[in-house]
Amino acid sequence: MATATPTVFIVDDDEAVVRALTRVLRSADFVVEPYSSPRAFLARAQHDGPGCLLLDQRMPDITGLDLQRQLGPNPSLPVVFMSAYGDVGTSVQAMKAGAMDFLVKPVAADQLLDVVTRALVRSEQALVERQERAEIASRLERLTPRERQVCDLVVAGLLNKQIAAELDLSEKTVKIHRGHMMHKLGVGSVAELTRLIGRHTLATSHPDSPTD
Amino acid sequence: MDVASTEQRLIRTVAALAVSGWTAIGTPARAAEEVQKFEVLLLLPDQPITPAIQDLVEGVRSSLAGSARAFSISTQHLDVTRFAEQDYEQFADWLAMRYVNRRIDVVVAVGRAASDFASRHASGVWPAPAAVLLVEDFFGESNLSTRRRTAIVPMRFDFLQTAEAALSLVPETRQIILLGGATPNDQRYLRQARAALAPLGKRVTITELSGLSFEKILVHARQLPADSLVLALTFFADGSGQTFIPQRNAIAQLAAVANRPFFAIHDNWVGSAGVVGGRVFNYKALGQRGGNQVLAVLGLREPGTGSTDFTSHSSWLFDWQQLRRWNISERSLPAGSVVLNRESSAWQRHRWAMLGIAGALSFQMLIIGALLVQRDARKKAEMRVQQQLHELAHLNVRAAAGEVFASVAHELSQPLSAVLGNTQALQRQVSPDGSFPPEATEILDDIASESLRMSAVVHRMHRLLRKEPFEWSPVDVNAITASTTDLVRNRATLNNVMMSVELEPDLPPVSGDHLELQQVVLNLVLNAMDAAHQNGSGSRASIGVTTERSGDNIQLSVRDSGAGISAEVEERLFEPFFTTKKNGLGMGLSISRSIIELHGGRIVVHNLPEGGAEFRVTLPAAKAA
Repeated sequence: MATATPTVFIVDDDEAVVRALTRVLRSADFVVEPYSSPRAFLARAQHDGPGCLLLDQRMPDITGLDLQRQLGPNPSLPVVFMSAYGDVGTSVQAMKAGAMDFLVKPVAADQLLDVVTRALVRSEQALVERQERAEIASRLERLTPRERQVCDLVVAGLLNKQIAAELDLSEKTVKIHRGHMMHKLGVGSVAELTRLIGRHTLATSHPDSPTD
Repeated sequence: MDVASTEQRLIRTVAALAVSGWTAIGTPARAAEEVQKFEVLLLLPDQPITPAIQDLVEGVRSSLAGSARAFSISTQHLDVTRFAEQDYEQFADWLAMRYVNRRIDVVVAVGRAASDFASRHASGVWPAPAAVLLVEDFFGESNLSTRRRTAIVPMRFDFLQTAEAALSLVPETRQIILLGGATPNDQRYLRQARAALAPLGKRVTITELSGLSFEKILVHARQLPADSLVLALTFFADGSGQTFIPQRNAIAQLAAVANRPFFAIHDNWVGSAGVVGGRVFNYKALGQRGGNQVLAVLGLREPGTGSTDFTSHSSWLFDWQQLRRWNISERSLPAGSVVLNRESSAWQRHRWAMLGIAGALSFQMLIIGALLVQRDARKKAEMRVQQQLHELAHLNVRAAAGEVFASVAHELSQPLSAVLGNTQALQRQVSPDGSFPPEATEILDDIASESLRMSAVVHRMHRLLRKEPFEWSPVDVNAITASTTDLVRNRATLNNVMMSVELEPDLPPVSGDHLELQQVVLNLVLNAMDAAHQNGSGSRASIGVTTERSGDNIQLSVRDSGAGISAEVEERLFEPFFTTKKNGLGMGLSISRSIIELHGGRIVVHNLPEGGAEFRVTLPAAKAA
């Protein structure tokens, strides 16, 4: 995958605000793509590289919350909300819907740069994790159904003898499947295997769910 | 049992960990066990500036001080007197953010509103705290969630006992007047008292004195029926919206001029508010019981009676001065009564006489004033009415201003963001030798134009809130309509209401007061916006505002997509204090009509065939000069 430049997207219906924020971010050498209409941003091709979205909450045609919902969950594009004082309620909703942070306008430069830096770091992490996940998934796909079964049972902590009984195979056959499986996945020990599978299932279940 | 104790242990461990993690930053050498402080949050109905609330907080404090552990007590208040319940949703969100990094061990909710709030929102606001709820009239109700570790201390006002004692102390009584304020909270106490006094219905009539302005109640207080007595309940605000903090100030003024004795149910009123006394509620004792329950839910003390403490917090308390004033023998007081104010100074002896004289004098002056007005020309009287109306309209603007605030906050925060961003961008780009970047001119232009934008917003707001003498001048109906709709445009967006404005160009001006007429437009537009959503059909809420010329008149029409107005509502629509809104004052339309009539115009309302209602204002155009 081509590594695109980390990009900060700004969506705010107020052009003066967009210009000001763009200037602040550019003064700190961030790459910025400003939009003064949510529709223009939605029309843009999907951004594959690291990035973050600075989103105004209150806009005339699509609200920030609606836009966030339309984009769907995407850990590699963290959303930072901007709201006016008094819109705190909506900010809480935004956070619940998975926004990374929110800024109350007027936003001080230090705060803005700090939040954007953190958002980009998170985005990069999410991309690395996604790549890793894809990598593990492709390795898992190379397993035969039988090897996959053996894999699951090894991870579940069963001994070869128990696996043999479970799958109605001889212990010797189990050993062979197990050897192939470990080889294909590129792991040398049960501990490594458990870690790998753990990372896979963890990452695929709920990437960003907050702990309640 | 097992599960519960494991959970408790777990919570404590987690709390200890959280505390040790936190204190490790500040005082690394001390053991977590030693420094663990319990955080108690008091969720109060009102600002902690009223005597009752101060006593209560003091009670909690003194009870916790008796324990070996350290406590830190903080308070938050709902301000129930001034805000309606629906505002609490946002308050919950605000609290959730405020306490996101702060651990609270126990929430003590005081009163019905705070308890409801705590049981509805606490889990979203403070993860897994224990709660102590001090609730009035708890009995028989259980919609309060009793979560994990909740203790309930019921508060009960002894309306009936106080009334019975009052009847035996003033035996000629045939009528008990329940005195209360006009807020929903006051009304709730009135209902409670009425229900509690039902058994007395055969012996005496029970009436209410409430809902009126304080001044009117003051007039009533001087001429109460000779066979009556007053049971003063609560007085958060009067019918005109004037609030009384502490409430006993209002009661003291009323009791001072009253021709019949006052009885009360709050301990801090006896001896300070001119009430005879009663079976009064002791707020400090309540606070202490609350504090004891805090210790109990934290496992630091044996709970009194399970998780609910039903002990009474009331006692018999009377004011010696008042007993003398109304000729009540001390011997007829209930057993166990405490009598305050026995010593009497010259001022105390003559206070009532002095206040009475002052009261009589001011009353006389009022009468003289009224006679003067009557004697004066009719025009002068009209001017006075006009002036009062103007004041009232100003009050009403203030109420509406709150509604407009959210909209204005957003309007200001946008240019403010632009100014701040541009300034800071420029600061960051100025080179060490002081030279500006090439973009500087554009940046400065932006700053200037955004500053002007802010000043326009402030100016608009100022015009709305400024109180100027009523002045007749040519008023451009289009201009006031446009500036009003601009003012609420953000609110419309926020509430998802489509607003269309059509102004007929080149309308002749009307003659009148700019501020007053703008007030009418604002009232109508805000009403329409509230009504627009109630169409039940789920179609997009919308309002339409139009102006047009019709002969020698100017017409302003405000239409909404709501459910229209039922015949019974229509009849009372323009009456003062009539409202269909939960937190409405009921003054908007009544004031609007008065203003329009003063301008020689008319305001009518009718339902539209396509649904919704239309308010139509007709004003005579000014004669061309």
